Amino acid sequence: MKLPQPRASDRLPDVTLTNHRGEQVRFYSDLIADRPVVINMMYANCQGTCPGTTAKLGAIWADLEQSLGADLRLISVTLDPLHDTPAVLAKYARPYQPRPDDQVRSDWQFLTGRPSDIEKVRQGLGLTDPDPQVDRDRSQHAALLTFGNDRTNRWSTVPVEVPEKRMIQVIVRNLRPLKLSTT
Amino acid sequence: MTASEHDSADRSSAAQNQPHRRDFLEICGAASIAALVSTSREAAAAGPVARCLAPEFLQPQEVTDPKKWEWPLAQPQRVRDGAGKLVAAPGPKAGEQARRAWDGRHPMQVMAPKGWIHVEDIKKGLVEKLYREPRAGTETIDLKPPLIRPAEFGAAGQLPKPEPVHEIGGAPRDRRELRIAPEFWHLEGAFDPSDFWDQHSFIPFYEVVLGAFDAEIVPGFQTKVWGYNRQVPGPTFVEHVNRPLVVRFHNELIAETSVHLHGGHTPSHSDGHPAFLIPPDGGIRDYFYPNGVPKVPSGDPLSKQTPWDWSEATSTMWYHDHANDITAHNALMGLAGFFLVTDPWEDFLIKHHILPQPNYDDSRESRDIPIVLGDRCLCRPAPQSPKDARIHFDPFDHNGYLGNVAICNGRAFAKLEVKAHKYRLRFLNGALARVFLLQLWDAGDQSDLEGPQFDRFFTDASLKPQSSVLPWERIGKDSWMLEKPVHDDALLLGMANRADVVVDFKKLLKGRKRATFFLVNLCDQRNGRGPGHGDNDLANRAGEGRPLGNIRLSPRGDREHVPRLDDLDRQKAFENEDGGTNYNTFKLLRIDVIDDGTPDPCIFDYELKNLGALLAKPEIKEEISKDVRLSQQQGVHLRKHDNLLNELTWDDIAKLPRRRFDFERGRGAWRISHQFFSEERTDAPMVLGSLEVWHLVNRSGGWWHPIHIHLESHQQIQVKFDGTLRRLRPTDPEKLKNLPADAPENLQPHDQYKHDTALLGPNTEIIILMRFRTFLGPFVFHCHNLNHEDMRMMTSFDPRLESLGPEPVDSEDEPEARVVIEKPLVPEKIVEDQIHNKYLPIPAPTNVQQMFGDEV
Repeated sequence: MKLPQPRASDRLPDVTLTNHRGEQVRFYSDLIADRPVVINMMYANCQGTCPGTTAKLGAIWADLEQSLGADLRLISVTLDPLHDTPAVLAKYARPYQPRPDDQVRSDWQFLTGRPSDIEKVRQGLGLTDPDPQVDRDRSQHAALLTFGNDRTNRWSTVPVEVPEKRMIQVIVRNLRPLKLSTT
Repeated sequence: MTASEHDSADRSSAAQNQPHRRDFLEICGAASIAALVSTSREAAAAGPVARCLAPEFLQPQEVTDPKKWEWPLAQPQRVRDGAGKLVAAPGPKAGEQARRAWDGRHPMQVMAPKGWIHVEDIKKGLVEKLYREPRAGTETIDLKPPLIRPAEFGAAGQLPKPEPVHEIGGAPRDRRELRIAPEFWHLEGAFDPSDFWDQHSFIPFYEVVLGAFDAEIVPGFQTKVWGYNRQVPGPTFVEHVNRPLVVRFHNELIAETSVHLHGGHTPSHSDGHPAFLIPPDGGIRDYFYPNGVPKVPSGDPLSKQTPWDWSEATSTMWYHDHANDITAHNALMGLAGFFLVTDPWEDFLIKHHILPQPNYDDSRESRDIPIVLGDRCLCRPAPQSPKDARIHFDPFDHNGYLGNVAICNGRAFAKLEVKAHKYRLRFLNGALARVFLLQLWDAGDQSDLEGPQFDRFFTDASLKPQSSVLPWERIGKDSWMLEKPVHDDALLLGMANRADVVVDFKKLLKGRKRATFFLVNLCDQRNGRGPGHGDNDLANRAGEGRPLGNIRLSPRGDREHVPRLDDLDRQKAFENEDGGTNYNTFKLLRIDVIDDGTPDPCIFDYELKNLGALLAKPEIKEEISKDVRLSQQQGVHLRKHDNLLNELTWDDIAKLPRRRFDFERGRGAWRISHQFFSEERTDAPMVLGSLEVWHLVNRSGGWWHPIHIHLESHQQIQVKFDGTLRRLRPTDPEKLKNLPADAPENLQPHDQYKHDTALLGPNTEIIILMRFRTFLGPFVFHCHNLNHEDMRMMTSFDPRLESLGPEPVDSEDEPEARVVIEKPLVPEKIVEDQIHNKYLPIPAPTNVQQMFGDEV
């Protein structure tokens, strides 16, 4: 439920997307509201930064959950919705899904949707380039992890090139459960 | 066991017994920084090195276990005074503020020390006891701590030690209670301030509480802000060179913070390093500001003249937040304030009315007015609370924050009433991403306008450039005074830059009894890129008094510049009560000048003739020899500067170690030489005391980047953009005689002295001379577009005792990180360009021709 005050997440669209399990989910209400999230944009055929980003997210997943709790959610949104159908994403996601004996209980969803909705998500996350030429070139897309905790209304972004250990620290420092002062 | 051995054993056992203390350091990333730096073979630092600050003393630490990694969640320990009450933060309450006149003048709530601390009580890094000022009559002690001069270090004064009145410390109560230099605590000599001041003296101890409160930025509206001691801008420190101080910051905010003294020559642990944080929600950290001038290293060109570099005595510094990833947000919410410093020479100039006089007791009588300019995106969040105006911060925007309302010292539509006297106005650009081009315009007599009428006039675009533009004398840039005043009528103020000007309102009145002037901003800025449209027009024009013909005006402000507010459902752009919209960053400050006939005591003049006449008086000569000699003042100057080109030739400069830093956009964020900021990596480890040439290169297209380098000032020696080349000329007449006839033009007058922030315009390359003195690293330098800084356009430099060797050494922790010594950093991508001879040739050039091509 949204709080009455304006929130940073207000600029994120509540569009309906489809995840790699084929389920229809709303981007804000179902995925982001009231929980810590880490979001990146990728596409399955990326020859650039995406494989590394996804692998890095997989590597730090368990550590993040340990610090942030099981309601943490990782969200990967495709930049190439015409190619990345739920089936393609399911295949892409398979190596990163927790095995039954893993301790990880939190959720990681790979999302696709209508191109116009995907574009809204990209604009909302600010993963655009002011230079239209660069912005159109998918191979030059931003390699950023956007993470936030809608409960505490705190969001931040970090380049994926930051080392894993540091990445965990940055995300947890920003998304830690907030203990509000009693006075 | 000697005393010092005992101390260190004590300290290390203390660190072991308090493992929680290490936890916080790990959270901050400080422990990882420790792993970066090598251990030193020579622990004892010689010469001007401050022992307490050496990262070489750090031992490699265990790698942080992220699983244990969490913020402490215990009940916050509130700070209480002796009577058990919560520490009350001074400062006006919202209601009081509303009742006061809408005054753009800084309230000048000068920080008063809570008490005095004794050097012996903080040797272990803990401030434990607080002393009241010695009572008048009981002791023959100056009420203020004695001025300790560097030349007198070690000469122990014989001041009796009064009894402590208040125990403020003892063992820290929880892990958020940090003291001085916690990151260095477990180390031998981690903090020994006796390097800085007399063993037997006291230094002032201040307390500042960081908290959230409501302020009235726009008349009639309440805005939630974050401030130091419930003030926005924060309280002003008025300090004196060579008088150290300790400031305790209580962080009552919900976010971690870090306090950076901008322009200060300050040890690493107290410099506001982005990883050396104050924990949120009750965290405490003590900052130690030695407030001295650096010693000139042997071998430095300047060492022939003076052992202490008095040209570094600062005037106008400021302090602001610097916490990693969240600096932009914290600074935007209001965490910034002035930190003014004088030395015996500046005191002399003020005392004899060469400079306008400050009045710290009554700000309305002060002729010295610091003004922080900024902009905020204000919006009204909810229909049910019509009196709320909210500062909108968009964490998804990484390009640069622009506001819809310009504010002056924390207030929109600010008004300043002045007499027809000379005033010293110290402008600071405290905006996140807005560049100001300031001018003073005459609007005639508008004294009748008040209330809503005044607001409308403020936002009225009818004030056009044909209104006459009023001149001022510029006397300072960034933290330092210029050598001589510069006559000017416009100034380009990049983010974090300061400009110190003297305005003679009597002269500007031209015989009238009263008039209204406006401080206006002429920059047409549409986004975080900066003003203009990717060209360097403004940089070229400002300061030269050229006609304003081609400068694009934005008299109605920037409605289209902040479209994102309108896109949001519930975030309506801030509107006036009468429905008019105030998108205004054009008129910044209204100044009402009234000539009441009182004589102006200030005798400031552009050519400093009055100062020359003053210095010729015999009794003044004696005064100077007594009090001011240590300021190393020679001749008639506001501040004697050393022009390094008097000492070095361009051939000499070509032989100096040289580094190159490319400021560029990459992967949706901001980088320096293809690298994002990592707390664990340094791109520039140098030997303490060295002199280097740095190339700051803007390779990001049309973007502007003000580059702020911590710890040291820098001297620009060459500025190159779009076919224009300017190069600093020596001031020595002999050297000038030998200057070739076709030598490039000199730098603009106000660029010829010290900077702490270089405004790097589009496609610009600035070459600077850097020294690294007194303190060992790590320090950072970064873009002061704070959105860019948070998106990692920042890197570390690390003065150390020993060279790491001539070749690059890879850090074990991060094999991809290159640690480069005494070589320009050459990112792979640039190698191609270099092959085509566009940039510095490889290997390092050996003469000026190689360095600068045919332009020599």
